[in-house]
Amino acid sequence: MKRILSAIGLVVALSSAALAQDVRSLGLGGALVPGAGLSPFNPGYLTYTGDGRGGGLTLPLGLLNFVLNPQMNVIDFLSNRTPYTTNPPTKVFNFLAAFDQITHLNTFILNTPTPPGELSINFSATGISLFDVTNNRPVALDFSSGGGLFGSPSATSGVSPLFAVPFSIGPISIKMGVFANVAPGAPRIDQALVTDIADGNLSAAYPNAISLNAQGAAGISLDVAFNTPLDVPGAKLFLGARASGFFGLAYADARAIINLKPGADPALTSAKIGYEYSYFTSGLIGSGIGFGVAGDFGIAADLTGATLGLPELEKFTVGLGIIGLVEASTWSGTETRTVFNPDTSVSTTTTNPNASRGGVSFNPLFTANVAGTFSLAGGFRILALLDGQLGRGSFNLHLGVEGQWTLFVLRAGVGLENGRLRFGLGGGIEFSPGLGLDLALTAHPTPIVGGTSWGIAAALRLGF
Amino acid sequence: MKKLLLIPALAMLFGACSTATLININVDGDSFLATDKRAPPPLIVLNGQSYNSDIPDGGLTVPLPNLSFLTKIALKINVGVVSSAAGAINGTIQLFVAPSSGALFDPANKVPTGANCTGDLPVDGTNPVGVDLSLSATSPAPCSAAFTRVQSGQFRIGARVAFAVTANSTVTITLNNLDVGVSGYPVQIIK
Repeated sequence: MKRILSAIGLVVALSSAALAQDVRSLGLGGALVPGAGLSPFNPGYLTYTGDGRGGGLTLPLGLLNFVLNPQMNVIDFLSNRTPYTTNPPTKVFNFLAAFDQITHLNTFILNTPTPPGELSINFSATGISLFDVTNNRPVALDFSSGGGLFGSPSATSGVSPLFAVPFSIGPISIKMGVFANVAPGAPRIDQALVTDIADGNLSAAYPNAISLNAQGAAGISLDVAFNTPLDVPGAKLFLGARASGFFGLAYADARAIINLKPGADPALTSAKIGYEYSYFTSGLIGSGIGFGVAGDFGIAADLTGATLGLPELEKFTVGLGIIGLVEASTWSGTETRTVFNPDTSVSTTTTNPNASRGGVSFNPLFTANVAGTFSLAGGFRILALLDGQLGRGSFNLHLGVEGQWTLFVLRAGVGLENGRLRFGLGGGIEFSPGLGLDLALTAHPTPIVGGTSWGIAAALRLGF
Repeated sequence: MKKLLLIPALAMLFGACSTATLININVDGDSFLATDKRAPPPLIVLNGQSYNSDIPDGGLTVPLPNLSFLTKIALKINVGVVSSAAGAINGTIQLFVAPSSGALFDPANKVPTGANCTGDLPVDGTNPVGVDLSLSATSPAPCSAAFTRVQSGQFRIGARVAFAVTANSTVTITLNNLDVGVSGYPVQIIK
């Protein structure tokens, strides 16, 4: 019982990261809105005053399902199990729906998935497989449900601090924080080896049969940004430059490689197995230090003189940001390497006290965005958004429209994120600037049974 | 260690279902047997003699955990009995389901292979014999007792071809198929 509760707690804690998604952005299909929220991609927007909509506290609406849906009443299931276990049961607890909902607490799932009525687990000497008898199809136990149609933010910039203290002096804004990141590696197995040994024989040597890499770093991050508005004829310019630096307190990485080569005969049992592993430590956990800098630049402009031939155009904003234009980092430390030679059965260990990690890289992410606000007759206002992002292995395009009439806001958008289409639909009520409620339709792939789970996300803004 | 692995495995499985999902566990038993256990060399048989040939020799231990939640068990066995003098063989296929210890081919462990849990299916020396049994707690006596033995967890299963011949000949006995399927609602574990 205690174990079940702690497992549920862990899942909730892990899924709470999903709560950070901006409901306004969800409704706009991911389109970027001019304002401070865009500054991670474009430091030109650091001091740009946005329209104040968006953001707010995303409500964990998904919790409602555990109260409203009788098949997901976890309290009743855990405290009063008899009706669930009698034959035939008088109550049903839907584990699949509960799993789908608890991993997407930011949305109230409307079409909770129905699990198969009959499931077969097939054991044989060659393996285990699952089969959904009700729907007559094999089941893949794939519980990864991230990266939905309305996915998570598509890019990150620099080092993300655990917490940061922002302050500003005139046109200079400073953000100091502490960061810690760990990239645990999953073992990689040479796929050619897997094919080769299917017949029980090893026909070639595999220097990287199994390899594993892991690394972690911690330190202090410091973002110093300069942003100043400039009035030029026909436009108000916002120029921004940001230097993101870090001073590394600790860094460690480790790699291990297992190599295989045929022995006296090709049989797998006589193969020679060698290995090597190395680890590098720097900072407080070793010796040496680490530091790094990255440079971001951006420009945003309200083109006050632009009309585009449309008298309804009230405001026209364009921006271009480049993050990671320069990136350099270095860690000095100690590297220890152990190699085992299967031919001589001797392992040798070497230590290099002057090892280093890091270097200079050019890996920028370009973000361009256009926003137009239009005032129409009858009190209607329309905000049209278009943006594109290129770099760091991703290409994203977004188009979003937000319409406002008195208190009511309606949003729609479409995005193309790394070849994947996403749509957004949302709405809200704006009681006063900063006080409002936003709603958005969400969708994500349903685990196990496939299909799409549709839901509603809500955010409350209490900025009065 | 095994228990530690079982918890996430069960959690994963539960994640795919509801308490009303009927879970079938099917074990492809013959896949766990070596070829010489499934297809032993032919027997040379003598006119007028009776034989008991067990297949697989010594039976097969089915690696299932304690399955108190089971409501139904399906046993499917297909045995090929081919005689070089087909008309000269007269016998039956018998099935034995036993706990993990003790003699497997004991009369107390015998499960009738005929319809309605009575009698045994005959062999004709030419055609393979397929045994297809469904056992539950409400089956007639010898079958319900076998159901209880399976429910208690690890069990052994084996078939016996009991036959007499009226001509000197060779008899080839092969185990073509041995499937064990159990069904139930696992939520009853936590009753």
